[in-house]
Amino acid sequence: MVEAKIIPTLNYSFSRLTDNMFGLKLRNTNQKVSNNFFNLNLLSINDKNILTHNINSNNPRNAFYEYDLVVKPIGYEVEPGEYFYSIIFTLTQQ
Amino acid sequence: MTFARIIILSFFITSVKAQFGGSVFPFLEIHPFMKLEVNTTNNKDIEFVFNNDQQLLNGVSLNNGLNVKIKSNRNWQLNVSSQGDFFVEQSNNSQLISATVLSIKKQTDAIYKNLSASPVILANGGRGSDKKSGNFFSLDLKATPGLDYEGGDYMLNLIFTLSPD
Repeated sequence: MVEAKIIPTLNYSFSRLTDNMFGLKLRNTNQKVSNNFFNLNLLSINDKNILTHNINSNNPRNAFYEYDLVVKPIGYEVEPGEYFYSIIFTLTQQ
Repeated sequence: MTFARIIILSFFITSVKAQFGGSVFPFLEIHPFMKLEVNTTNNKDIEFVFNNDQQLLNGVSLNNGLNVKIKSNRNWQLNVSSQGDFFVEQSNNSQLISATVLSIKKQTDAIYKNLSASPVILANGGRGSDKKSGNFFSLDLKATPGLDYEGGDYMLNLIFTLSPD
């Protein structure tokens, strides 16, 4: 199982963006995974399951998973500046 | 004693699952953005027609003559000025009409501001789209030439400037 969460790190402006600006969406894989993971998963400061893989039913060798990193529309309410984040992935044996 | 150690060890092994971590570090660089739209109500040139002395003396008003829309991620200030200090004469009269004959105000304001080549502040506002209250409004215009000018056609270009506040 792969989980992901996002943490704001540095912020060079006076306003602060919400933490759930980013999302991950599985674009392509050579493995059989649930269709749910092809939907956009918005990230937050809490771990979110972005992939579950059953090793018994698929060939894990040379497995690849390509994700789109999506940023939600920012709009005009956010002050210009630079906003830095860390996306932390955790792979856990099931 | 040996038996007890084995039990503790086996418990530890079965309770721990393999775990690996990785990170990526995206950042957003948001640039300043400002957009101004000024349109006439029917997308035609604004025309003031004076048919009698009362209109010349008291002026002719055009309420909601201009519609303004602003999109900005910075607090903003809207200024207006005329392209020159005088109207451009269109009918071969050599007479100069001061731009101050024309005045303008935000629809919700009470007092008109005379136009000239020097910018005057028309409105202020905050970050937001053109759907946000205060970022869309109408302008009233008023022309009061008086009796000192010869009849004819006179034109004036207005310049609206949106800048960070």
